[in-house]
Amino acid sequence: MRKSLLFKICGQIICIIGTAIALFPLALMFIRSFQGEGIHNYMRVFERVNLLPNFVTSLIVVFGTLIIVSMVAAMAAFAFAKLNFPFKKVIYYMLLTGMMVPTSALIFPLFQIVKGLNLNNTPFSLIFPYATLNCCFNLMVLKNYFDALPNEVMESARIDGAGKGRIFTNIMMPMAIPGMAFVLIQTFLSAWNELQMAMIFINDTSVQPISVVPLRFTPSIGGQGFPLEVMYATLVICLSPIAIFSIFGSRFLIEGMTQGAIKG
Amino acid sequence: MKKKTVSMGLALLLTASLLAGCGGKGSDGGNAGSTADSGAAQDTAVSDDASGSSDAAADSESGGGEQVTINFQTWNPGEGVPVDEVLAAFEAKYPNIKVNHIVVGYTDHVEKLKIDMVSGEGADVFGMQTGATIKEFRDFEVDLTPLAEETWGEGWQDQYIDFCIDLLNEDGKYYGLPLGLTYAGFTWADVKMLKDNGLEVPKSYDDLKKCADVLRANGQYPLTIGAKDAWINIDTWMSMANDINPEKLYSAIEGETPFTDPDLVESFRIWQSCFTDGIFQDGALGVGVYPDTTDLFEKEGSIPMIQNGSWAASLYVDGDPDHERVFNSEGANHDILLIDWNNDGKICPISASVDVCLCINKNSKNQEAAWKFVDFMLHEGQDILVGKYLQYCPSRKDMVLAIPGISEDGQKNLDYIVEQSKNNIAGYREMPYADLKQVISDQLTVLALGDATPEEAATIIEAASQAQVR
Amino acid sequence: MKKSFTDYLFVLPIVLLFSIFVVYPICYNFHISFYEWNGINIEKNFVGFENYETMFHDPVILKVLKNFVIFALFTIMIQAFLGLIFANFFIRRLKFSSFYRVILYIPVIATPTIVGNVFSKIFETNRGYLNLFLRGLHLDGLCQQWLADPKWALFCVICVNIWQWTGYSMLMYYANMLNIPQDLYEAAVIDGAGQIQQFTKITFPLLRGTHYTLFIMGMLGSLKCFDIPYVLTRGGPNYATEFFSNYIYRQSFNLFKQGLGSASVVVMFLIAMVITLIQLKFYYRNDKDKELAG
Repeated sequence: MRKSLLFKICGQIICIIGTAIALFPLALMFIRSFQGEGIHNYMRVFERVNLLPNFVTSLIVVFGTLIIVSMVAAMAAFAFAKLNFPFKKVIYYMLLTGMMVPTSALIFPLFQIVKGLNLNNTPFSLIFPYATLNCCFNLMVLKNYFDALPNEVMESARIDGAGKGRIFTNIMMPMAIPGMAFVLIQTFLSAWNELQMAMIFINDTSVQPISVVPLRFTPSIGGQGFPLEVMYATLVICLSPIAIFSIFGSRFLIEGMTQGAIKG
Repeated sequence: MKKKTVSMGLALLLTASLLAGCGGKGSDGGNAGSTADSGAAQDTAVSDDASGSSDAAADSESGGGEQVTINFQTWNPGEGVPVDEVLAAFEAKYPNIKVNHIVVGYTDHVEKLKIDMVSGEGADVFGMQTGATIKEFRDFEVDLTPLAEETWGEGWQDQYIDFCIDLLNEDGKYYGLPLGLTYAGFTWADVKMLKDNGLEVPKSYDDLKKCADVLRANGQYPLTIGAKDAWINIDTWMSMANDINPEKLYSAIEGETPFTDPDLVESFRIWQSCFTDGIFQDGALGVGVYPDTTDLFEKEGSIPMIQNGSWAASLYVDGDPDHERVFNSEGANHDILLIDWNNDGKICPISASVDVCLCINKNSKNQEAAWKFVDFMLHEGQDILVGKYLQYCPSRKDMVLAIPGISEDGQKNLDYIVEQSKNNIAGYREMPYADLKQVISDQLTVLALGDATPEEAATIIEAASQAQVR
Repeated sequence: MKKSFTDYLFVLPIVLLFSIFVVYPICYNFHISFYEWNGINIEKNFVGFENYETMFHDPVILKVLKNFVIFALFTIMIQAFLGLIFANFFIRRLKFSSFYRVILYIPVIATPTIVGNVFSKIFETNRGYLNLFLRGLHLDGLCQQWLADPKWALFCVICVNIWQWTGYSMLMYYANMLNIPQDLYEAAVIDGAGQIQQFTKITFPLLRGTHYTLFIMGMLGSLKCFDIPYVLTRGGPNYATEFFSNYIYRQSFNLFKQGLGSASVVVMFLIAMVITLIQLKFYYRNDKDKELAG
């Protein structure tokens, strides 16, 4: 594809403005995290809290969620997009409602459930609710993606004698990689950042997910505690893994693109 | 092909059974491998619980032979050096009791407590605010009166400042005990900065008006208020109403005087004119007290006056590098003061609240240890938190505020706070009626926007006051 | 019979998760909405439909509805528009596009604390960066009391939402553009179609599904919108930026009216269902068109 000079120049200008606006508030956060006592803000966080167990919990929770979401949501999206069965629309419609309920309305009943299942105070108390909410949320994205995939490929595979399971795992999934990558990035971010459930479902502060840690550094009114800058430093520490992940995830998207190009 | 379908189906079934296994609680052996992980996690969780409760049982029977852990959840005091010191001292005194200090922001604290309590759990000791909140949690608060009597003897109330004991007294029962007090209605001024603008510290509304005109002409902020936060609006308005007539304000809150009383309408008028006369800075409704306005006053030193309470005195000893550099710098001179809002020559009185009161959870399995902790916090704990770090003002009469290392400027302002707290308290700060408080705070915003007259606002508040269940 | 059984196996896991972790909470809220309860006490009072009545008589709920409609329309359209533009740049491999793509997505991860703190510095009236910028350009007339003025506060909240979520629209369009077969463009070039025609004739129509998805997600996002108005304005001034979630939160955590809060959840849920239903009707109609066309 040839690109005109006008396109290039306009494109660069718009992108530079866009990235500047996107970056500005975060740059302010980063700068502020070094104000006051500079790098010492970060030292204080590490001195105070052994972040390793928090980090491990976050990893378990996030990867548990990713595994469930990638399996459950992909299967369901495939079924809703490419298969026909009675009550399909009704079930799909019901599932979509799952993403409509605000978290603050869900927390108490969800806590009753995880407590009833004896899951509270374990990472599993978070994995299942996160996975469910993200499945519902991403079902539509994925279904939409599967919808766009050509039916012909599936038909020809069916004529070749492939079963639905095989069509799903060997044909549809590889083609859906960009869509999956998008969904997984989104799931990673929301599971990593979630705060309210993480704070309530796991009691022991030393093993709560890392998203809760900045709360401990929130300066209390008139309290001694820590200056605001330390909380900013904590936020930077907590956010850096997802920043890295989104860069990595982006790469994954590009790989998916080239694969898709070969198939198409 | 058929085989593939079947194996795929099996895989799905396995997934489903994994989910069902975790979902259905009763893990009936059949689900083998895949449930092992969650099963193990369940087991550890269960055994943790069990050992926890057996500890508790042992402790309450043998009087504390074994290690007990109590959870102390609060929004204040937060983590940091002062609390570390307190907890270390506590664990030195009671080596068998370990305290797990859980700090979350105020709203999260209430939310977490609500959910935990209703599920029959929750922290053993928790912080509460007086006013509406402590009443809402009544079903889960232990009546501390017998414990206090047993430990401290008859007339134990005398050791606490009368005002806060009155505030916590519920028909002779006490569900929370005060860790510290705070006083609201104050204004803080940067004397040096005012002087640089050729101004004296204002004393009355008229002075404020003059100051505001000069400061605005010089491109400076006038009196700054973080009016996005409802609490500072209510604090400030209450100080105005208290300046005019405290009896009427408090009897109106209790539903005995209508809010349409001329004295109260006058207080709304003063509040509104602070916005229309430019006493408060432009765009006040768009900024919060913490950290928007406090950053400007405490960390940048770029505004001359701010509405904030007595608790800001902890700035003098908190060791924050920015505060040391600006607020506590050489030659810095700040005044805490009370404004004469209605120009009658008499400064406004302050309102007081128990900043944090400590409550014990009825469902706590470690009530004995929890009480030891509360007792310790109110005495030795308060000596450190208040006596050394000035987190609050003292709730005990026997405490004399002599903060080690406080600057002369700080001591002067502290003396002023102490003096006002002795002679010039109008009443409580937190009104115990959530709905009424909400309507008042809404109407203060409406007045600030100029969308209603003081009379109209008073009529609406009065309607809410009549509907309020007391 | 057997055929559709295997089909159901594909949706069984999600249905199971859904029924445990979503259906129960919704039923719970429905149940509580008939009680007068502070969310804590052991006793609850059955009050029938009283909570719903109170809610519909609350003038704030009208503002909430109005804010929702304005917010949803503006954020959805602008985010989709900007997202489409950026995605279009990136799919055409503009130089540095992989860098831009990562950066544009970063606001999505920003936590509410950062958003609130930073943007109140930007929108502050006296020394906020925005007003300083406008004064620097000698456009003093355009300076506003952004967050303090009910007329502008909603506008600010909308801007911040766009800042945060444009990257999401961008990435979604981008992922779906990757799915458009290149030979369509090659054929179009042979037919002499320019860049703009390629976009309007091929890219835009083929992203129809994405438009729908973004539309409904935007709608539901607007319904659930909580963090940005909470940290920026606390729903004020005078409820100018109050949304359903803030309303529910206020009822249950500031005013201790769990029943009223739950009633609002139920109503909000019904609204969301209606929106989804309408959207799906359109979507399936289009499906039919597609089948007919194909």
